[in-house]
Formats: sequence, structure tokens, C-alpha cells
Amino acid sequence: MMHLTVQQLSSALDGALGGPSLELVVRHLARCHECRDRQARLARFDDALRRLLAVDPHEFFLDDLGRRAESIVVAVARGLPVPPMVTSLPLIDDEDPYEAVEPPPEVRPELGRAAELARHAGFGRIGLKPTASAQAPASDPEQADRMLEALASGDTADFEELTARDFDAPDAGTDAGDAEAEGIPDGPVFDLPEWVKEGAPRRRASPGARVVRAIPKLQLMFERLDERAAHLSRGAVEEVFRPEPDAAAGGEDARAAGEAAVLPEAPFDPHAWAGDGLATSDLPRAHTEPVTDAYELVDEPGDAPSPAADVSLEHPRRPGRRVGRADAAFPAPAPRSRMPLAVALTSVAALAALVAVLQWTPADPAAPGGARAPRLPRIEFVGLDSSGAPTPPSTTPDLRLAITPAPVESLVATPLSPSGAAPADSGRVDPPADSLGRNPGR
Amino acid sequence: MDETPNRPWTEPGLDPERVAAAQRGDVDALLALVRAHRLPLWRACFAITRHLAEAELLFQETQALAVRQLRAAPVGRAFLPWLVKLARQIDAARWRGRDDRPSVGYRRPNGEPWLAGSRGAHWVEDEQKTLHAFAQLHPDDQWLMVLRLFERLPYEEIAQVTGFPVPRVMNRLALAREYLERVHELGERAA
Repeated sequence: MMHLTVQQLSSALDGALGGPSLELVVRHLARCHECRDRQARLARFDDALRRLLAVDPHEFFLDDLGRRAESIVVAVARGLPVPPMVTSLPLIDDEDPYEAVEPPPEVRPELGRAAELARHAGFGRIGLKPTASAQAPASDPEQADRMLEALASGDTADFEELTARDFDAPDAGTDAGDAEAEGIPDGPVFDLPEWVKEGAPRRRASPGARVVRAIPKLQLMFERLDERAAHLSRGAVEEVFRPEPDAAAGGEDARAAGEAAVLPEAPFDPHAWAGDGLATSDLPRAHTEPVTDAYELVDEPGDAPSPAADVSLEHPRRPGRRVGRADAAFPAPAPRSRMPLAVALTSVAALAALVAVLQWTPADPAAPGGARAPRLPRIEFVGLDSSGAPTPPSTTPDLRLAITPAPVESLVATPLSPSGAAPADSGRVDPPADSLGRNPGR
Repeated sequence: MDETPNRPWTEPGLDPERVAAAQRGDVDALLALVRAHRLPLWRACFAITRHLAEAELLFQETQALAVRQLRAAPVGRAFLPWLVKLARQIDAARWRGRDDRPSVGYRRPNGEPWLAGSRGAHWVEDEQKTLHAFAQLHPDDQWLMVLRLFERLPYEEIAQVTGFPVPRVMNRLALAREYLERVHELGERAA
């Protein structure tokens, strides 16, 4: 069978055929699948080229380019300096082959671990097939029906509730019953270290008892109120910290127990404190008692009312300002101790005494003038004779031999005597120098 | 009044009057002439260079050269073919004596990533092969395909624009398509 030529196929694609030529081509294409495939292939190339090169630019882009070109045209037409020709992208020679071809993936921190898993699995990345299934896990319709019926009837004892412990630790389901029996609240389980468990035996609550999480309370002491920060007068501050007679009696015991120190008494000035109708007996005694929770605002139902909780004192010049236990959250800095200074002074004094003792103790009372000689350790250098026996140290050591180099005369060859004989004490005879004074032997 | 002629490649429209006025020094007529052929000139520059930034540069250079050589512009004929002829001459002069222009760039010709404007990786491969084959064609054949595929001109108008006879236009277009097919087949065999 004769196939169509490429000219016929190309002209048919362009719609340039007519008459008998078009009829012939159509009839052949109806019978020949090879020519149909080839024509489809040629049409595919045309479409690809149109997609790549026949894209009209955006209106904004074309307007911007037109403005730039018109400025150049006007400049050339009027003989003005031509503005530089600029492009919106780097030219083909200036392109960066390592430039990222895709924008960085959008970061979604609010999705947390789920987004991290999805990203690792390949979701949302062009050109990467996800490794994880995009389908939800298969569910059991019958199980769902039973669950709905149980929810309607209110009897859901046969269904296990998914918990965080089951999700994090698959083997934690074996002792789930034990945990429920012990009354451990649902959620992640944290175990205490051994030394804690040995020191404090674990208290097991009854199965039906409510487990209360024990939170260590902060122990705060009122020692001193910063009257400048509180905008109070000195008298008012001292009145706040004035101990009551029973507290003053037990002051020594309180100090021994490490509690707060009590400021000395001061005369009470009710006008400075500005508490209308406030008697001295109404003042709290919070400064003598430890504050267990500075942020405690609501008392427990069974607790006795705390005297400090009833504090409602107003500032004399600022009526809206209240001064009370809320200031305990910002206690004044503790007074600086003088113990480090005392220790430092004691150390200096001891060192000075030691130096004085060493200075004035006679090293050798029999030596002349040794009454005031310093008592320092004596270091002796003991020499050895040819037999290896130690020689007694010299009272006048020859330090010159020890620290000065050998005399130059011993290193330089002794010149020949006028008679040409070498001196008797010289063991080396140098060859005679030549006429130029040089020694050819060297 | 629409300033753009219906068939800018073959019909002169208002071009002769504007060209004559521009040759007399009328800057407004010159700007009107430039604006009227802005879009077809941009398409031609983009098809010639196959690169967005290169097309921008060629567009500006072409208009600047057209103003300088305005006295040589054809009077009584369409202005656009002469304008595009200048663009082809500028591009040929720029790449004369240099290595060939890269047939396939790091991005699509319009500056987008290759994968962004396509339906998949296999489409990108086909497009890159086609673009490479198109770049290997003779510039005259490239220009014929641009006029036929992008400007959708009939053979008669293509012959009028290029000056080739109609049978030659038809034959060269067919051979250009066959060349694209051959390059594609060779690429598939090599792969």
C-alpha cells in the first residue's frame, strides 16, 4: 500500500488541501492507521511548539516592555542619549543553572507532626510519588453499627477507647487493666527514678478514688517590703511588719527555724497608712508566716480563712492601689550577709601572721646574725668525685663555672710559636695556611 | 478606532501614513506605529530567541534600529514584515561567530519551571525534544513554522511575507515537520 507523503500530511494539517487532493488524503487516512498515527504525531509536535513559543505575555508585562521601548524610540528619534536596555530576567548567558526551579515548599508549623510525616511520605511534592497510602484505613461497617447502637443505648463498656498510651507504646495495652486498677490517669506514663521511689513509698489510691496531682508549692517569706516600690511611707511599712506580742515572744524560735526575720517596732501612724476605720488588730501577720502559694486567689472550701487573704489596704496617695499578698510574688532582695567579708579578712590576717612567723623565726640561732635570718629551706648541691662518692659541698661555690661559658682561649687554637713547634699543651695541630691566608684543608 | 490592523502581516492599514509622518519627524506617528505592532513583534522576537529575556532585549533593539533606519522602511506596504526582518537580522548578527544558542534552557522559554506549565514529566520530555529539534532547523524554516503555527497565516500570505513561492513554502514546511519527527525518533532510539 502506498502511504501518504509528508507533504500531503503537512498540507492536510494546515488545511491547505482541497478538491481531489483532500478527498484522496481523507480516504487514505480512513483506511491506513500508520498514516493516521504519523499525522497525529506531526500534530503533536505542532501543539508542543505552540505551548512553548506561542504564549502571549501578560498585559502588564507587555505594557512595561512597551514603555521601555518607547522611551528608547523617543530618545533615538530626538537624538537624546539612549537609556539602557534592561530585561526582567537574566539573559541566557547569565542564567544560574543551580537556581531553584521550584519555590520552596510551604511551611505549615501548625500541622505539626502530621505535616512532617506527610512531607516525608512525599505528599505535596511535584514529581515524587507518595510512599504512603493516600486512602484512609479500611473500616468495619458492622463494627461501626455496633458502636452507634452502643452509643445510643449508653453501654459502651465493650469498646476500647483509643488513648495516647496505646498510640505511643503498643505493648502498653497489656497492663492497661493494671493501670486502671491503680487509678493512674489516662495519658503518657512517666516513671519516677529509683531513688525517689525508695525514699518515698508509692501511695496507691483506691480504684474509685480521684487521683490528685501533687504540685510542690513555692515557699516564700516576707522579709522586707520595698517601701519605695510600694510608694508607702516608712512608718506604714514598719507598721506592716510590726510583730504582735505573741510573735515577738517566739521570735527567737522562728529565727532558729529559719523563718523570716522581724523588723523592729516603729510607732504606728494611721494617717500615713490611710486605712479609714482600720485598727491595729486588723493588720495581718503575714510577715511572720511563710507564704505557701503567692498566687493563691481562691481558698479551698475546707480551709480556714487566711488572714492574709483579707488584706485590703489602700495606698495613701493612690486610692486605687492595693497592697497585700500580691506583692509577695515580688519579694524584696534579701539583705546581704557579711560572712564573706569576715572570711576574707580572716584569711588575709592568717596569711600575714604566717609570713611574720616565717620572717622572724631564726633559721640557725648559732649563725652570726641569724637571729633575724629567714627560715627558708636550704638546698645543697652535692657533687660526685671520680669514684662516685659524694664530695662535701663547698662553702664558696664557683658560680662562674656554672653559669659562664668556657673562655674563648680554650676554643681558639693556640698560634704556633716562632720556632714552629706546637705548644706542649695543645693536642691538635692545624695545617698551615696558604699564601692567601686560607686554609685549604678546610 | 482600533489601531491594530486586522492582518498586520499583509495589509498595510494605516502604516503608510504613519511611516510617512514618522519619516518627516512626527514622533507621535512613530509611537503609534510602534504601538500598533507591539504584540506581533513581541511574538516574533520570542519565537526567534526562544528565551524571555533575550526576546525583551531583541524587542528593544529592533525598535531602536527601526527608528534609526526609518528612511529605509517600505512605503505603501505592511510595516510589520520589515520590522521582523530587522529583528531576525539583529539576532543573526548577535550570534554570528559564537556558539549556537542553547536549544533547551534551564527553564521553559517563558521563564517558568519546566514542570510548572506541563502535565507531567513525559510531557516535559516531549516538549524538550521538540524544542531541540526546532532549534536545529534552518532559520528560514523556523520562520516559516512561526508564521504558520503561531501566526496561523495561510500559505499564500506566508509566501507574500517571506517572498518564497507557495509550493516552496509548502514543501519546506513539510520537510521541517519531518525533521522534527526524525529528531524525535532518534532521541527515542538513543534513550
